[in-house]
Amino acid sequence: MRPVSAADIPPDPSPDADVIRRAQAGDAGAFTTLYHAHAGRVFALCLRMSTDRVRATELAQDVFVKLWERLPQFRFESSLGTWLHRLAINTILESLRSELRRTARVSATDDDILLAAPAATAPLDVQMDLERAIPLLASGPRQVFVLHVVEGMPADEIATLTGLAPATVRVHLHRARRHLLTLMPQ
Amino acid sequence: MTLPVDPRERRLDDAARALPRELAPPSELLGLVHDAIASRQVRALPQAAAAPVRTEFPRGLAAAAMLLVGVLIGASGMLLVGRTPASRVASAPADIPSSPALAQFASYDREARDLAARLAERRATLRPETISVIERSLRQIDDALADVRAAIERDPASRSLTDAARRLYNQKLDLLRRSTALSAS
Repeated sequence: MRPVSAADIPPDPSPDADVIRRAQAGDAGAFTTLYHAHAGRVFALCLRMSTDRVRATELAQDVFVKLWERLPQFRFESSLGTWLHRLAINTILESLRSELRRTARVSATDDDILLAAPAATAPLDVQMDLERAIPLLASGPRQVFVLHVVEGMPADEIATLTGLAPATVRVHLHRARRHLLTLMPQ
Repeated sequence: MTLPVDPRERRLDDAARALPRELAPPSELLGLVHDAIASRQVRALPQAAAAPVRTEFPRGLAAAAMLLVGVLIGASGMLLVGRTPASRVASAPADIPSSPALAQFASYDREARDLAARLAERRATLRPETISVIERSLRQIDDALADVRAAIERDPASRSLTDAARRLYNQKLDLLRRSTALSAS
């Protein structure tokens, strides 16, 4: 068994280069075409890296705003899908890091908890339901598990991107697997 | 190094790799992206093409439309709470953008208005205790939103205020969506 490699990633759904060039030049219609080609992939990543659809929507919005801002820098050296995937991961990690700093300073009120609570206490179905179990993981293990196992990113790359020590990445991954197993029906 | 030895962990990894690569984003996401790009004006979308499905209104008509939106949202809030006009439920805190910095939240307001209207139609299907919880939560969000929007008007460049408003709007939409789904079930 091996981690997912780039070769496992489905073919880039990007429209042709002409659409990308038109979006680079400021054509909003072309940008919308790019959005439709990639929104599902980006949203899936955002949803699994965060804990709920609300936060995932915010993250996906940030990713596509950054795509618009940085699209002129895209040089066709890789597929747009690969380039956007990296942009999305960086945007998500940056946002989650600043959120962590913010929440460390501000303690949540009961109302915050009531309103923002993810479905963390919902009972799991009998069938293995990873989509519902992943959000129950703590932030660090969840991000490492999603990036490494679901997205196929090598552990050393995760360490570089997140600023975590490689050993910490391994610990997070171990904890994520163990925790998920406890959440799954035997 | 990262490959699990435990067969159960291997099965877990297999299942994780088999998760769908794409998940349908919420329908409002594209509008939110366009709004955010328009508000930041880093590399502004051309007006005509930015939102091909929307119509550009003359300034006066747009203001009138926003006024109508405010009235509708207020009305939908009253519908939700029955005949208690004093209650302020399911309404946007300040629905008429008085500064350009607030225009970026127009799509949130539209969505909230639609959901509130739908919820008001199904009010009779909800238990009174449920309605009470929904109303209280919406009131709290709206009060907080009013404060944040006022702060944004004073400091339109503040990213943290904008982020706070987005979170509150998303909380409101999420609550309205869940409440609407609850009333439909």
